[in-house]
This record gives sequence, structure tokens and C-alpha cells, in this order.
Amino acid sequence: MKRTLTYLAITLALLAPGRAAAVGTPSGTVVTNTATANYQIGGMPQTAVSGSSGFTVDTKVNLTVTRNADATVTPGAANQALVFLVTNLGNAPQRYDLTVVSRLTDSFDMNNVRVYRDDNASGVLDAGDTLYAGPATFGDIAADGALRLLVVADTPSGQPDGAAAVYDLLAATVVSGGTATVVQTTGPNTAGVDVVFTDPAGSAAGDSARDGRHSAFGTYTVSIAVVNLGKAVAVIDQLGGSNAVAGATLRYTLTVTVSGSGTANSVVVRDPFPANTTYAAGTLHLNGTMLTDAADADAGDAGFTLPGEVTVNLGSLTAASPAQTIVFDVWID
Amino acid sequence: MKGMTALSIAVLLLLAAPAPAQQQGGIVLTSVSEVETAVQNSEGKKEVKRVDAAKAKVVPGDPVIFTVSYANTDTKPADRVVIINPVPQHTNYLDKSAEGKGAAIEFSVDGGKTYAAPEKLVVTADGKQRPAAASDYTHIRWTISKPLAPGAKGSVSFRAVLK
Repeated sequence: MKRTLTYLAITLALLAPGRAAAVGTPSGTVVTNTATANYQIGGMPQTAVSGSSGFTVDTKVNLTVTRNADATVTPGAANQALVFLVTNLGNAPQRYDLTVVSRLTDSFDMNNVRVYRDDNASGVLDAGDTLYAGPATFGDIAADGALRLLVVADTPSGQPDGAAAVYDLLAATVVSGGTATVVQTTGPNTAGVDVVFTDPAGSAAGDSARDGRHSAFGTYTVSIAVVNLGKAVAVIDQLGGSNAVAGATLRYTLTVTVSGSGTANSVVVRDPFPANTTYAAGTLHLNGTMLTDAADADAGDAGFTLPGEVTVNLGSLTAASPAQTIVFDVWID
Repeated sequence: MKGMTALSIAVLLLLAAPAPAQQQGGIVLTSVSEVETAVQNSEGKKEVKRVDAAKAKVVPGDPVIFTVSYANTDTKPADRVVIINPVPQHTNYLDKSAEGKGAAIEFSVDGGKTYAAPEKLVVTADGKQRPAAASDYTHIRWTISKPLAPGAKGSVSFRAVLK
């Protein structure tokens, strides 16, 4: 018996956080108030009397749609995801009819727009995620329950840096176990359980307060990094002049800059030595610092990663990065 | 002579009145659950009206008014009248909402074992004592201070918010 009590205590402790977050008394619950009076007549205690009244809890329909992440996209990229959460804040299980609405005032539209449930909560589209087909796809969402959703789309090519596509995700409450939109009970109370909308207004056009719907918007923003490469050559002959004669030195200066809002990752500069020239050993420099000719820990090499070429790894660069300057010499044969 | 007539009528009334009361006897309690709803009156102005909670829409977060009416239907005065009302399940007592004319109002936080004034109530949570909040109240007790004469009526009330 004692053991049972211990188990009960543990169960209650586990339940406690969930109860604290509970949105409300479940729809259909009967609440009863009973008062009892004790009194005496002529010094004699009388039998206690009581009186009761009560009511049935009606259905509260309330939900929120929140955007948890926008998406930064590159032109041509497929399956880009905006992350949303739909939460049932009512006191009864409900389903949701989901609509993705494109804003008319944004700068472009994505292709192949779909809604998925983010089954592994990764925030990106994965193989296991479930494609939304209708209110029945995800079934009933319990009171306090939530749906992690992804609005997934493909980015068309040719969009400029900074272009934005805005989408509202609109969730309309659907009856538990069905596909029809929930209707608020109008007029006087009915004998059964009534439906009361308490949802706030959302971001989508026409999504007003107390309409059983809620919405939030997310934005796809195109971000491009353009890598610009400049190349200059200076001729230094043996007499201190600039005549391109046999034995003269050709000093090449390569300048790399990035423009646009994006990040260029794993930038590698390759430059083959011109025909009829020979690399002047020990002349490879990056931003004024000498790099060994061998392929080793430093950023570049001359003729090792690729024979007859300079190879320099510049890593990730953005428009904020300083210009990267690569200098090397060759001799004219 | 005039005074005599008046007295006779009064005696007659006294004799007549107890007849239905004797069938019931004692104190009769009735409870009413109501909600306040804003309605537009004929002049288009908003008016707050109380309606039976069973005939209104009540959802979590709504306050409900519980009114308990008492009447002494006995031929003799009733004394030591104490009304006890557990805060209904699924509701939280709304602070400072209990009313009762001619009654001392006290609350319990231990399921009705002990009662005290709000400022004297403490609860123990996580091994520490703290002043009780309205949501900790489990019972409300009204102690009617004076005996109730035959035919005397009154009411007590409180509000609670549906969880």
C-alpha cells in the first residue's frame, strides 16, 4: 500500500508541469456549485441543508500561428523552408485547414509551394516529414498541442540579391474527427456544448479576431555573393625597365573581392603559369605574407595541388571581408 | 380601538403565514450560477446583464458569479447559521469577491478543515510557507452573525474564474 502511494506521488509530480501549462477546463465538463448550511433551532442542531447549481463548459476555439524562422535562399535552390508552429489554445481537440497565401506586394514568388509537418523538428525538409494534403492529414491536435510546420518551396533562378517573397500561413479550425470548418454558435445558448471563438487577429488579409483562424507570415530573402577577381601584370626586365624579354620577370597581382549580401564559401583561386614562363620559386604571397611553394598548412601552393598552377584557398568571404591580394612572379623563358 | 384592529390583523397574519412554512420547515438554500454578459439595450447602449450560466456560453477564463440564497421557513428563529461553499471544481476563487450582508466571511486552504481571514492563511509549497493566494482557497464560510427570524431571507455570493 505504501508503495502504491509512492508511485502515485511520482506520477503526480510528472504530471504537474503539464497541468500548469493547461489551457483550460475541457469542453463538456460539468461544473457544479454546492453550498451547505448548518444551523440550530431552539438550541437544537438541525440537519444540514444544501443547494446546488451548475453549468456545462462550452468549447473555446483559440489558436496561434507563429513563425519560428524565415529563409535565406539562393536562386535555383530547391526545398527551402519557412518554419511555423500552430498551437491549439482551446479546450477541445481540433484539426486545422492550412492555406499558404502569397502576398501581392512582395518582389517575387517561389515555385512549388507546399506544407509539411516537420516530424523530426529539424527546421528543414527531411525525408521523414509528412506532406499536408488536407485537415485529416495530421489528425486531431489535442488542447495545448501544437503542429510544427514547414512551408517548403523552390527558389526560381535569376532573382537579384535582396529580393523577397512573403507568405502567410493561415490555419482555420476544423472539427475534431472531420473536415468541416468549426462554426461558432450564434444567438442564445443551446442545450449542447456551444462553440466560442476567442482567437486573435492574424497577419493574413481578412484574418480578424474571433473568426476561428489565425495566421503569421514568413519571408524568403534572396542572398547572393558575387566573387570578383581582378588580375594585373607588371614586367620587370634585367635592366630595370619593363621590356618583356627572355629572363624578364612577370609579376602577377590577383585581387579577390565579394559583393552582395551572401557569403561565398570555400573560395579557391587557381591561376596557371603562362606558356613559356617558369615560376620564380618562393615568390607566392597572400596579403603581403609569403606562402611556401609546397602544399602544406598555409593557404596556398605553387605547382603542387595542380601542376603548373598557383592554388590559393581563401575560405569564406563576404562583402565585409577585406580584398584578398595574391602576388607571384614568373620568368620569361 | 383603531390600534386594537391593527393588532388583530397582525396576529391573524402571523397565524396565516406559518402554514406553508410548516410543510417545509428549517432553512432552505438555493444556489444560482450566473455570468455577466454585455447586451445592447433598446437605446443602443451597452448594458451588463446577469444570465444563468447554464443558459450562457462559458469558456475557460470566464468569471462566474455563484449566489447562495437562504430563507428561514421555520416558525422559530434559526441561529448559528453557517453556510459553507467549496470553491467549485475547475474554478479559482476570484480574490475579494465573496460578499454576504451580516455575515463573517472566512476561507479555508486545507479542504475545509480550518478557516481564517485571508491575511492569516498560509500554504506550504516546496517546504516553504507563503501567504495564501485566492487560487489556493478550497472553501468559503459565511457565519451569519444574528439569528434568523421566521421568514427572514438573505444571500451570500462569490465569483470564481473557470480554469
